[in-house]
Amino acid sequence: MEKLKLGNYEFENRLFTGTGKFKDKGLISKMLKESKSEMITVALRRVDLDNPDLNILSYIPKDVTLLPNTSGARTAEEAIKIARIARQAGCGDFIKIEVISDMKYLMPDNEETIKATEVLSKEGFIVLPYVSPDLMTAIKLEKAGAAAVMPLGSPIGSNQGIIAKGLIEQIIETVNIPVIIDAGIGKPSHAAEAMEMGAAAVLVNTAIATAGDPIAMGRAFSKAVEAGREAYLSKLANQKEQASASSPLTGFLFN
Amino acid sequence: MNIKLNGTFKKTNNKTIRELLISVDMLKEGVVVLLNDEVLKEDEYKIKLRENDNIELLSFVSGG
Repeated sequence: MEKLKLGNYEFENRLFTGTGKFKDKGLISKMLKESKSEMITVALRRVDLDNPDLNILSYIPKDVTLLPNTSGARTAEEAIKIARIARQAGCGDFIKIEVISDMKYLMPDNEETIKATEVLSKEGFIVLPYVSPDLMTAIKLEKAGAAAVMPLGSPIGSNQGIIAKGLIEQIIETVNIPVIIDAGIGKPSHAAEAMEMGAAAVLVNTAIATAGDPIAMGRAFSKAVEAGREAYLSKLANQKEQASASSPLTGFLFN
Repeated sequence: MNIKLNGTFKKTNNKTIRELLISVDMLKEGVVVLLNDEVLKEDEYKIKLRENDNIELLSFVSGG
């Protein structure tokens, strides 16, 4: 299948994953191998000197691209700072901009995200901004130099699926950069739906990491993403109000 | 001398970043060291600490 291009990078697999919430970090590398996911998110935090957690990168194979996020940032300025540190620390040019100050629904701040995108794309980052699904925001992000736009399907970690479907469809129809649905995808059928809609990729973390068997669930998501992509490229048949027989309505045997 | 380490004011007798890292058992792979908002490379750990330096020790962790 055709590759997804982001910056100067190409991806065969359109399932992006996250490292959060796995009960055993050893599952991450196995999940990556089975799902064939080529991009995975990490976060940057202050070390807890009494209880340090230093080794997440050692669980990620070298051929998987790191997507550091700016989680914890409440403003564009904080996101920019985190992005620069992540790159200086050797995490590559990709950055998922995530600016959140609403601690109830964890909805991203689109305005601050646009500001951070403008600055970081000029600095050569491959910027993947995580936003609430809003057409004008997506248009502004494209102008600001984003490599893709990542609208949420539903609130992060909620597994509710693509409740913002109509709004995301507007974005997919309008912008000329890849649209990656991030957050809220709870099961493989949601991922397939996203891809059928024309999403370029999906980012799934909670639904894989907290599944009974994260490794097999990674594989299941990968298949769903591939099926959904192929369905989109094959152009879905029209939906109709009325029934339309698939077999001839003449020549019945018992008339 | 007074420094700030991960947001907390601290008195230290350590002379260099390296000594400070050893004293808190953080001269380890996976630790990102920021001195006054600048990321240090390992060969810069010999830099001498100065009064009111702000040192942040960060690491990449799990996240979505």
